[in-house]
Amino acid sequence: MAQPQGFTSNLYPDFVCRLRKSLYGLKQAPHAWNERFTSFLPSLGFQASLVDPSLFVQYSSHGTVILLLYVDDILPIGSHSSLLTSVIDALTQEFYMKDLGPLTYFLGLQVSSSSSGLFVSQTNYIKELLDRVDLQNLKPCATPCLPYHHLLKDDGKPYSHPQQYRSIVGALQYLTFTRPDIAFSVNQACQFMHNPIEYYVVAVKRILRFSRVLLIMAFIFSLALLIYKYTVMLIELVIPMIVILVITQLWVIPQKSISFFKIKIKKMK
Amino acid sequence: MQEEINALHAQGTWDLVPLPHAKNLVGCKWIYRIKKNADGSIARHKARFVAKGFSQEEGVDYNETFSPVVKPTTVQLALALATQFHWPLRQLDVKNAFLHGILQ
Repeated sequence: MAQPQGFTSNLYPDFVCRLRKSLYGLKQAPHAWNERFTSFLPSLGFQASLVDPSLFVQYSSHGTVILLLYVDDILPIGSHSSLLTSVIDALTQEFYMKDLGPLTYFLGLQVSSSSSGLFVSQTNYIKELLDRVDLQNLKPCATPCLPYHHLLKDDGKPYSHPQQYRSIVGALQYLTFTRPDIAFSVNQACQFMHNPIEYYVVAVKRILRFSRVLLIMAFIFSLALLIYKYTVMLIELVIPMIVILVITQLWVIPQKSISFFKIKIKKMK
Repeated sequence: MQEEINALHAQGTWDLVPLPHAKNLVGCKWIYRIKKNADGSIARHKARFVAKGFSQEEGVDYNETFSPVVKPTTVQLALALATQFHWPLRQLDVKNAFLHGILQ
């Protein structure tokens, strides 16, 4: 690589930099970082999961620590806070890291915890999405799609900005994390990513209009509903996981949105 | 800017060598950004030194670019477990993550 501007060596101005460590912008940078981090984890007793390569689990007689890795965001969860602290200390010694304290924001998910459980929402994510497509003032809408209405393959003119369509639908797909109520409509829109047609955009806008209504809807990971003894052992199995999730998740719909729906229903009558 | 150069030197990112024959020289540049606080005031001026990766050729300059992405179900499972067992959740942020990677 060429020498950095403003920091060229006085002694050897003609020399070049032979890279030993990766740099931002290099094609192999993400891979090199991932390789570096994941090869360090086994030395702390972590095992990579077979199901998800970004999930690492450390079992010991003292307890369990689960670690989720998303590029440079790390989410450690431990059965005991002392165990968790020792893992965090070991990691901060090896890498230059900042401990952000208890979890509040991870991958666009706003997390707040209370005695009754975890409250996860994507309010900011929706707001940012609406800002990005410049549709903050969309009229709210009571349903994410029209009933008995199918999107068809060749139904009109192709949309002039297919990239924009893909980007919005992709963002909506991530939104289904806390909003399973839009999952069906988003799935419909996803089926035409390769060749979006103008009127699908209307359908996608409808999803956005609907998402706006339940802006602060959140998922609750609730304690009250479930006593599931063997969850830790089942961590590698996908099916029990679904069972756990179905039982542990509850929707919370804010009062304001409920009254919005009531008004809509009255109008329909 | 000095902070970034210091970080690069601390990592031992490169050493200076004469240009080897018939090798692709990757360009580089500085990217300047103004980081703002939530209220719009200027938090700090950030300088990031980047390589121009677009001039690299696959198979010649690099082989693997893959880096995994966490599955939503995994996050949900982890959160469900944490809730169920009252496990503490923490969050770490790696500074200059990509500078840690080792190149062959």
